[in-house]
Parts: sequence; C-alpha cells; structure tokens
Amino acid sequence: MHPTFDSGDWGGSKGMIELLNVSKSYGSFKAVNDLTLNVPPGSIFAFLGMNGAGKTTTIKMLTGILTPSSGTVRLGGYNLQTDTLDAKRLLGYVPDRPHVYPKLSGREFLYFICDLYKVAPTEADRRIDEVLEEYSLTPWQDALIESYSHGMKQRIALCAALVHNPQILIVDEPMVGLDPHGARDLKNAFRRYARSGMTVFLSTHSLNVAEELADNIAIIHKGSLLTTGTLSHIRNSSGALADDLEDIFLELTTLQAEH
Amino acid sequence: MATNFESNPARRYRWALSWLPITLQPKLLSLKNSFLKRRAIRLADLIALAMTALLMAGLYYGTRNTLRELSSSALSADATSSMLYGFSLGLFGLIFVSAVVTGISNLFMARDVNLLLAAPISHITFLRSKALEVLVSTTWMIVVFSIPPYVAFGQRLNAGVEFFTIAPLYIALYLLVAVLAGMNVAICCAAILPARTGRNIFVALFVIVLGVVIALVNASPDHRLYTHLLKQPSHPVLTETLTNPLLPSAWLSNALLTLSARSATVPLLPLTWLLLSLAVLWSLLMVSFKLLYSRGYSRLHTQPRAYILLSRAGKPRRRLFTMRSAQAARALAARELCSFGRDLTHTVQLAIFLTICILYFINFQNISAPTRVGTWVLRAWDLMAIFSFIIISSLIILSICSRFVFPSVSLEGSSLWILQVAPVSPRSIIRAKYFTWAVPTGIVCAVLFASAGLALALEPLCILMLGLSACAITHGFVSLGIGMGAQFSRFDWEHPAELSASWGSLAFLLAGLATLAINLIPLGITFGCYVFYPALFENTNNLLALFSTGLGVLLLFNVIVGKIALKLGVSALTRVFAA
Repeated sequence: MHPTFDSGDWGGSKGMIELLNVSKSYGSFKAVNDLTLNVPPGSIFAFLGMNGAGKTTTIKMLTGILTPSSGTVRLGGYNLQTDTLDAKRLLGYVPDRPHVYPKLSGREFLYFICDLYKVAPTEADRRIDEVLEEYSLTPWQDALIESYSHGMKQRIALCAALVHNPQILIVDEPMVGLDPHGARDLKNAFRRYARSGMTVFLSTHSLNVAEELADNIAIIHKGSLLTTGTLSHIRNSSGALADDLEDIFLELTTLQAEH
Repeated sequence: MATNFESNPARRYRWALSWLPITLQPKLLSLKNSFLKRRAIRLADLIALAMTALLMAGLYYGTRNTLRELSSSALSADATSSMLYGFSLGLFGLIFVSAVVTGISNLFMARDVNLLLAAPISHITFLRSKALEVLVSTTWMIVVFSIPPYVAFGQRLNAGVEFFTIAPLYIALYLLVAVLAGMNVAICCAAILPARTGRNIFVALFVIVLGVVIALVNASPDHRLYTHLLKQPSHPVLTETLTNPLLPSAWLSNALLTLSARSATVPLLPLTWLLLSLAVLWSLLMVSFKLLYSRGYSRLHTQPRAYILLSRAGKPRRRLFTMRSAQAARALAARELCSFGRDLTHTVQLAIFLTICILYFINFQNISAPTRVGTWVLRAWDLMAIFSFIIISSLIILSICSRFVFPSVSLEGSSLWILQVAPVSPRSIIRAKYFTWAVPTGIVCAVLFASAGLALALEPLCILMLGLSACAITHGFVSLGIGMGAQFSRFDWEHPAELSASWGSLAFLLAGLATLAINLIPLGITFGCYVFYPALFENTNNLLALFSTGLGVLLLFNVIVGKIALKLGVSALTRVFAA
C-alpha cells in the first residue's frame, strides 16, 4: 500500500536528517545547545528527553518553523536555511497538538494539504483514498473534523503528514490519544514505512515505544545531547548498570542533574 | 468530471476555489461549512442585521444633510472637501491600527502558522495570503459603514458614474496601503517589543498622557485651556494638515475630488502614489519578514519568565488588588489580568488606545469658537464642546470594550473545559469577568470625562457629574460587552484578533452605539439646562438637584441595560456548558 522510497536519492550526505552544532537561544536562555545528530535513511529514530529538555524546539527547527541561532539543519542533503522549499517537500510532520481546521471535512483538509505540497490532482485522489483507508477514516471522510474524536483527529493529522509521500516523517508524541489497537497499528505502520525507505523521527516520553521501535536513540537533557546510538551502544558507552531503556534514561538524566 | 464532482463534494469545492491563494482556501471552506451546518438564523443575528441597515441609512442621511448644511452656511465654503480629507484620514487611521493588531495575531499566533511554516510554500505565498486575510478581517466592517458616507459625498459633489465605478479601485488600493503599513509595524512590534516589558510601556505611556494633559492645561496663563484656545483659532492649521500632499488620505481625497468633477480624466498622480507606496510597503514587508519574523516568532512563543503579577514578588500586590473578592472570582480575575498582560496583541492595542487618548488631548488645540456671535450661539457652542468630548470619550471606551471586553468569554478558547468542570456557576464566571473589566475601564473612562471637564474649565460639580456619568456609562458598556460576548461566543477561533472583527463584535458595537445614543438624552437635557439657563443654577442646591436627577436617570438606564445584558450572558454561557 505504501510507496517505496529510494534511500539512495537523498543528496549523497551521510544522514537523511542532519543537525550540525545546532543551538537555539531565547535571550540568555539556551533551549538547545550545540546539538549534532545524524539520522540514516530508512531508520526509526527516537528522540528522548524530559519535559522542557528541548525536544519540541529541536523539532521546530527541523521542520523550519524556528530558525536556529547557530548551526545547520540538512534534510535529505538539502540545507533547510538555503534550500528551504526542497527540504520541506521531503517532510511530513505531526506536531504534539496538531492543528486541523475544525470546520473542514477530513477529505477537504487532505485536499488542502495536497495543494500545499503540490501533489497532482489525480495522484491526490488516489493518495487520499489510500491514507484514509489505512487509518480507517474512510467512513468519516466527509464529516467535519470538529466532530472527530481525539484519536480520529490524531489519525487525520497522520494522514495529512503522509498524503504527499514524504521521505521523512517527524512525529511529536505519536501515541497520544490512540487506543491500544490504534497504537499497535501505528507502531506497525512506522516499521513498514521504515522498511520502505522512509526515515521516521519520533519524539516521545514513552520509553517502551522507543525501546520497541527505534533503530537509533538520542537522549537530550537541558538542551544538550547526553548520548546517541543504538540501545546496546548506549547501554555499553554510558556505563549504566541498568538493562532496560527506562532505567538507563533515568540513570543518565539523574546523573546529569547531579552534575 | 460532473459525475466525479457529484460523488465527491470536497473535490467540487476544491475546484471552485482553485483561483484563491492556497492558504485562504480552508478559511472559505470553513465559512461555507459553518453556514451550511447552522442552517437557521438566530433572532440576535436578525436584530444585528436590522441595526446595521438602520445605521447605514443613518450614516448616509446624516452625512448628506451635514454636508448640505455646512456647504450652505457662510462658515465654511469648502466644507465638503475638508470633510472628505478628514474622513479619509480617519479611515486610514482605523484600518492601520486594526491591521497592526490583526497582523500580530494572524502572522504569529494563528493556529495554522506552524502548519504553513512547515509546508513547502514560499515566503511570498505565506505573506500574500496572510496580507489578504488581514485585509479582509480589518476592513470588512469599516468598509460596510464607509460606503454610505462615500455615496453621500459623491452625491453632494454631483459626481457622475465614473466616481462610483472608478473610486472603489482607489479605495481598495488605499485600504491595502494601510494594511501593508500596519503589517510592517506588526512584524517590527513582535520582534522588538517582548510582551513581558509591556507593563513598562504602559507605565511610560500613562506618564506621557498625564504629561501632555498637564502641559496643555498649564499652557494657558489663567489655567483655562478652553478660554485660551478661544483666542487662538487653529482651523487653518487643521485644514493644512489634512491636505498635506504627503498623506495617503490626501491622495485618495484628491482622486475622489477629481473623479467627482466629471472631467473625464483618470487622476493618474494619486494612482501613481498609491501604487508606488504599495510597491515600497510590500518590499519592506518582505525585508522585515526575512530579517525579523523568526525573531518575533521566537519571542512571542517563548516567555521564560513570568510577569511580576504572578511571580513570588508580586503575590502580595495581587492579593491586595482583589482581596475583597470571593476566592473563585479572585482566581478568575487574576487569571484574566495575567493572560491580558502577557498577550502582545493586547499590549499593542492598549498602547494604540493610549496614543489615541494623547491625540484626543492634543486635539483640544483644534477647538475654535466663532468670535462675533451672540450669547445663545456661544452657549450652544459650549454645549457642543461638552457633548463632543462626551461622545468621543464614549467612543474610545466602546472601542476598548470591543477589543478587550467583548472577546473575553470567547478567549477561554480550548481552555473552556477548565471552567466547565470547575465548581463555578456561569453566573459567577460572568460576574467575575464583569468586575475584572469594569474597574480598569471605569477608571479610564472617568479620567477621560473628567479631563474634558477640566480642559473646558467647568465647575467642580460638573466635573464630578461627568466622572459619575462615566462610571454609569462604563457599567452599561462593560455589561453589554460581557453579555453579548457570551451570546456571540466562539471558542474555535483561529487567532484572537478575529474575535474583534467578527459579526458578533459588529452587533456589540451597534448595541453600544444605541446605548450611547440613549445615554446622551439625559446628559443632553442636564447639560443643556446648565449651559442655557446659568442664572437658574447659580444656586448650588438647584444645580445639585439637576445633576442628581440627570445622573439618576442615567444610572437607572445603564443598570437596566447591564442587568439584561449580564442575564443574557449567563443564559448563553449556561447553554454552552450544557451543549
């Protein structure tokens, strides 16, 4: 159902998502401090951190909503500051509190997104049918979004992020509002997308989701990167005594707080 | 294709709207869906529609008759053109002020901003559609009420068909100039004025207002400003200012006057100026967007430190401020004031209103009385001066209410559930909102009224009467604002400034104007008796009796208006909670 992605066609740089020494300051307050990340194509990347660690600020810089105070963001090899539109075309984004026009029907909203991303009309019809079907929203496609449940709103936001076939999917707190069935379906969908070449960047509090899904993990604390790599790499390099991610995360962030 | 459209209505609307800028399409679709969903028209809408039509007719006949009277009198031969210049300048001011506020709200705080910023659309597309949105939301109400006066001007000037067909193009360009200028200022404001220093700006502005008032009052050797001004008529200065060729309002007025002259020539110079300004303002907007937008966005969406009002240091002051209120009402009032103080659109609006107050005081200088006329004419002039100040002050207060008080219920927005689940009745919420806004608005209104009394060198008892009248009028306006705000509440707004440009806001303004008109009757009778029969009221007891009666009627009327409005507000909020 989902299209395949050519993982080689992303500009020839190292990662599909690259952050090079990215910082963001608000006056004297540093929300993100010298962050460097590299996310390979076709992988699932989990971005972890406590509340206020700088996850959403980083995501806003990744999506072009905020401009970094310093550093470079590259998406698929395109510099987000200079090749803005090319970089944004690769991106699908689901914020933690997605804005969906309440007075539009699901299908109208997806048409709008297709127009924003310049999807050809015939292709748009096909893709809208596909994503609505995939997220079980076909029966409600002509109902106004204001009448959707919270989970349905979350699903229509996912449809909007996927309808233009992005090569990168950035999701802020993906499991919020989903029932166990929905959550399971979404996890499977993420795996499927990654297998087909899409890069999935998840920002989450849910450590079991990260542990279950992610190929690579990064932990951010007070705007600075604590560690990054595969789970086993983090376990070995951090010297943490614990085995599971939750304990490692707590140990690392507590240690950092004590410092 | 037709079959496809029938089976897929969303696709039909998409095709029908494809000529519009992409980011405007969902707004129009939302309007269409809201309209289709609602089906029935409420009684309140019908009343507002009827009042709109009535006011439009009143504006048309009022302007036409005033122009006819002024043109026929010996006082001013070119009154029509002077009024056209003044009217155009006022229109520019209104649109500009509105565009600054709506610009901040629409460019930075609208709910779709993040979606659009993350989408692959160019800055030009983003700005173009936002400019159109700001244009529509800032001008629709003003345009509706500007049509009748312009038609009256056209008729008075004996304009031909070219005036009525070509003039709208000039007016549209003129409005766009005002909107683009406002949007430029909006981006600069957001980037330069962080909301948390807003309080300091208010203090500075209040000091300036006070300074201007004191300077004006002391400008007169005998401390009687009005007497001083009578000696220095400044009407020529005012006319020169209005026709200054650097003002866009002068370009529009010149174009309209040329068009009305039936000379069969299109006024090219004003058109060139308007187009040139548009090009310059658009380029400036692009530059300011490129340089300042990101900074403004960051500032508006991040406030690492709270205001002193909520910080630990501010706690005693907050308690002192509301210590007599009940706990829930106190919490609501404190929350309302904190939210108000931290909202940049509110900061900018308040700054603009204070600037208007300064202009209001400065414009005392433009009063000039006829010098060689009889006692009765001079008395009529005195009454007109008092009345002008009362009307202008009331209109300023009404504008403040439409910007701050009317939207206060709707501004609960997605946080409404907190009030719905809390053990607080709709009545307490409405009352808390009323008290939160009545006190500061009443103070501003009393200061404006009393300053007018001081500047006109009225007796202390008259100044007291004006101050108390201000309190009564404020009660009426604020109650009406809260009540109608609940009646026309909308919690799914895209950005806060759209509430002041909504249909409900127009209904509130119309109801406010009607209230003001009725308020003017007892005030007119009271001050009319005082001005025209001074001998009768040299006795303080008589004067006290006159003022007490006038004030009593005024209070009674406003208490009735307030009671009905607040009751309507409570029942509307109860319906919202039950829905």
